[in-house]
Amino acid sequence: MSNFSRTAQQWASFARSWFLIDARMQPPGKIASMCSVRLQGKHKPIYHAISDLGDHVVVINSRHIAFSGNKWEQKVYSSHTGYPGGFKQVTAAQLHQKDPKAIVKLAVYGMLPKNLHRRTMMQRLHIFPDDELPEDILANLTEELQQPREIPRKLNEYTQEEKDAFPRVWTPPEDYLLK
Amino acid sequence: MTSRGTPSRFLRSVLQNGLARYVCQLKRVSIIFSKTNQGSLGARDFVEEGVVDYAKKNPGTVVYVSPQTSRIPKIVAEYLNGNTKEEIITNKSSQQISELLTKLTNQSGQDIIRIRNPQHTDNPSIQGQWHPFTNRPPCIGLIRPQKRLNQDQP
Amino acid sequence: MASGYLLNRGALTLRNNLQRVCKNVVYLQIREKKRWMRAYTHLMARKLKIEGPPPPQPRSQKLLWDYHAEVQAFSNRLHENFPVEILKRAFINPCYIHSEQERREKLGMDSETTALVLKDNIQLSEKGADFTKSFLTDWCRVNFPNLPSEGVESIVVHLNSLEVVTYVARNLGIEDLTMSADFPVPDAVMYSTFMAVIGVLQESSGSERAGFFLRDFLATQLIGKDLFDMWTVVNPMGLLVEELTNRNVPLPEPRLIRSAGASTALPLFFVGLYSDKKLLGQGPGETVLAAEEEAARVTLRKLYGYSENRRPFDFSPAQHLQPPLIQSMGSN
Repeated sequence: MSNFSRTAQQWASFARSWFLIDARMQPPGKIASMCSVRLQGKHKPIYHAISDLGDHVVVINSRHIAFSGNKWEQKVYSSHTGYPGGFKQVTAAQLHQKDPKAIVKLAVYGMLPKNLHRRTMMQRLHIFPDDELPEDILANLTEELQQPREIPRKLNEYTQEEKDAFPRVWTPPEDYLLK
Repeated sequence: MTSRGTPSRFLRSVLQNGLARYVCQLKRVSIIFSKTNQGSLGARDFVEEGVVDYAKKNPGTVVYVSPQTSRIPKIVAEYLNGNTKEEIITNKSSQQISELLTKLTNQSGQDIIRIRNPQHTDNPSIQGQWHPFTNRPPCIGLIRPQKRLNQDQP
Repeated sequence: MASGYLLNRGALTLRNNLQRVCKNVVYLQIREKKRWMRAYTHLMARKLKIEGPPPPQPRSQKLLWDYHAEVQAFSNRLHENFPVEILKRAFINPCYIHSEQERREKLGMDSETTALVLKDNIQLSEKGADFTKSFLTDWCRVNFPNLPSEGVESIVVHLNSLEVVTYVARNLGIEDLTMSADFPVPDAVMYSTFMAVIGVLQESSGSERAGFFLRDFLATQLIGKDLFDMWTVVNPMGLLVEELTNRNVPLPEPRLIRSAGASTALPLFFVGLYSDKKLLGQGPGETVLAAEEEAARVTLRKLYGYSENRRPFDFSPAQHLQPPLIQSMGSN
């Protein structure tokens, strides 16, 4: 039970939160759908289409996103400059090479509603290629969101006991030579 | 005109009426009719048949019956909050006038305009209104990217 | 001046028209466009613009008015048994008697024939005001047992204020019945008239009935009001410290428990007050200081039992008191 005064209650209810998302080894689409919901304010119980309730989202490690399958080579980002012959097509890998923030940004931009608030909501999205954050943004953060995918561990991150305890289909003989 | 441009009010009663005791909001009703006019036929019938019963049934309402020459017959209802409402009863039967009077008696006298929200409560929430930190534990210190903390530890 | 000039012009126009009409041999109704009407309405509109709308007229000076019936209906409407003669006295204010006396003297009649035999409502009003104050104080004490006397006093002052009482009185239709020197009736006169009505009720039906009347019409105005809207506390933290010391609870320690957008233009801070490692209350604010003050207010509301989720006031109708509605219907 809150018992706040009315002005204080209003201030608290409509304050903007700052969420932090770590995009390391995460699919950009999953990250973007989480961002889109929070940028629109749809995660709030007081959501209403005509009230401006969007929160801020800070995405870090956008350089380390993970596409599944062969999307790095086969996913194509197209654009047109407007001039004749100005149709540009780059693969995800090339785009990521050029700008490590672009893939996440484009994914979120595509998931936001196509209206006049879209650019405003995009301004509340802060993407950082690495995990270095400026001090003023660090001071604003309220909550870190859980990553949508569990990061698979690499073989060198497993300890020897875990490797030994791993069930084997076939035990190689002593004199078996690995290729 | 769009609905947002029309005058509007919120749902409320006069002096929290009905919460403690119900006060009939109609304080005064005048029935104005002509003695001879054809259009006042129903009004004359009502004055003969129904008006005494009505006045007995509603002791809190003062009923004035006023025959006036060459007038459009009408009912003027005055409410406790100071509002006045006129209803023309030309060519209405006694039954219709009685129904109209019942309607006027039951009204609160507030302006009949768009009501912004069809429900109202004086206790918006028992649990407390929502705010971004509802049902979240207090956090100690500032939020930092967790990955970096883990990397710092080893 | 201007309106006089306008009226002269209006008379001139009318006369011209009359002359035009009188030139005909016999007076005939001419069915035509009334070309003089435009000038006349234009004139009236300008007169209205210069002089403003006419002053409001009390309902008692308009057509269809029966004072006795109105007073009786007032009594029945509120489901109370007022003795009509005493109730009529409650509506007579001293300012009315004064102005009426003056008016009669101006007419140039003898002072004996013009003497008024009206009694004013001063005594009733004083009695009613005393009773209202004592009843509201008792009612607040019962409903807020944890509230200190200053808080009770400020709630009573709020309910008893000119603003609230006149608002209630106007919405009970007392304004029409009030005998006052000027119209619209001044707030102070409305106040004393309402108190006189209470005084009559207490005299005729007893304190209990008058108490229910006050509860039903005045105490309901407390709904939706915050404690600190009525009670101005400048330093809530000081008051909280005082309260906790009286209750032998360790003093509160403010802690910043949550914040959002601290370096932006719209920051939000949540401050919690801990006493003996227990959370007493938390409050939001734009700055840390404002949040701390808000937290103190929240804690005070909890201590005083004026929280939002408190038990609603009991406004159920008095069971053992016979509703006089049926009796009055029979007597009619």
